[in-house]
Amino acid sequence: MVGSGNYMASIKINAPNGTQLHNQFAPVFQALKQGPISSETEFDLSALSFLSPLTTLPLVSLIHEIGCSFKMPTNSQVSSYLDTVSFPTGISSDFVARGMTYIPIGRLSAGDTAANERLISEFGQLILNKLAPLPLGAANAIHYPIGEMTTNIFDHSKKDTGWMFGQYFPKKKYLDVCILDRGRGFRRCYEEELNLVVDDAQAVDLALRGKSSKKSDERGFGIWTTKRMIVEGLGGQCFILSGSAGYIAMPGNEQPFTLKDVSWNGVIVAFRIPDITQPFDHTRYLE
Amino acid sequence: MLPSLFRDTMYLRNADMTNKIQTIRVDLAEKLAPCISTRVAIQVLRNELVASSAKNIVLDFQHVESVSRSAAHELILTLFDLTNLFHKKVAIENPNDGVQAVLSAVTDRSIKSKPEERYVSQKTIDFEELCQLA
Repeated sequence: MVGSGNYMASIKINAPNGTQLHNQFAPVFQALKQGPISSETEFDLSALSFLSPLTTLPLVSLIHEIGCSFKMPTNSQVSSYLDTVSFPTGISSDFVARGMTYIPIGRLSAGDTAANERLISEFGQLILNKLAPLPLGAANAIHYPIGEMTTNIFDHSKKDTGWMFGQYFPKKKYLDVCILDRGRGFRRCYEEELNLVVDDAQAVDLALRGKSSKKSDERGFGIWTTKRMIVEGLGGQCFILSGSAGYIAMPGNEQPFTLKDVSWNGVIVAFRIPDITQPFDHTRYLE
Repeated sequence: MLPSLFRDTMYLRNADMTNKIQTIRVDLAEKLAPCISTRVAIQVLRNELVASSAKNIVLDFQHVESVSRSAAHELILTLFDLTNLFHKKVAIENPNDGVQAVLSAVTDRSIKSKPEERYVSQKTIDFEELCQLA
């Protein structure tokens, strides 16, 4: 199956080499490196036998925003899975989500606040259904990061559309979630809201430290608390990217990184949560 | 006239009828969602409550499972405005323990000093190099 539109440049999306969360962004990074993405770009997914949210969702947002075309995986199971999760259009209604057994790609639109709120809630509930039964308090470990990261889209991105997608891997015993926008990103947000001129790496650093773009000390907790809950509390992993800089966090390793010759317009946040087997008290991480 | 979204959940207390004091009860799980996430949703709610003629407002969390810290902060700001700028009485009812903890954290935060400096690693690495590491 090929998406609509003529194409001139086909970019092959290859499977990531590693299994860590950040490795799942490598196929997108390699695609972005191959030149400007335009409506004449085709993403060739034919060779893929596996797709994680951190690979899938950036491509979905590019297809939606720029109008790129795409070639579906030849592996029928992967192709069927992508159809099931509403690739590449996503869904924007919780009423559709309620009937699904898979976690769909969610498309959030600034115009309909109530629909967004219900879709985000249903997205979290579908994830919980996949993970059930969960120990006491574990639901908060899912809802909290989803809530914080989705509110950031509409508070900061200045973009009308946001995206979210999650997948549970029962054999690997972890959940991957990705939430992203194609907005102005951290650097431009600081510059436009606070007249603070920084580069992408400094902007990611400030966002992690909780520097709010809203001139308030009572804001700026979302990313930090999410990272602490997932990495310290659950032994999971976090991935944050804005512009040409990002940050990874996993138990025993936290590291900023830069993208050479590539920039992502907007913010990508992804996290990996291993199976939760113990009761979880999210209030320990609240500040 | 009350916004249409409130009509179903509004009731008038008989005792207040003579004073024309209206109370509206907002079922937050129904009006927003069982998991409340975004600030903008609270801002929309705030505008509707400001526009309503009701002087007493009950925010019912009975079926709310979770609230993000950001949404809770926006809610506290909303309560402040409704009370102090618009002279309405607002009550929060039936929050579960998790929701109560987030609301308390936000409220406490507003009177506490800023937390200690957060440690963020500075060992920057090129992404391609990062992906080569085991």
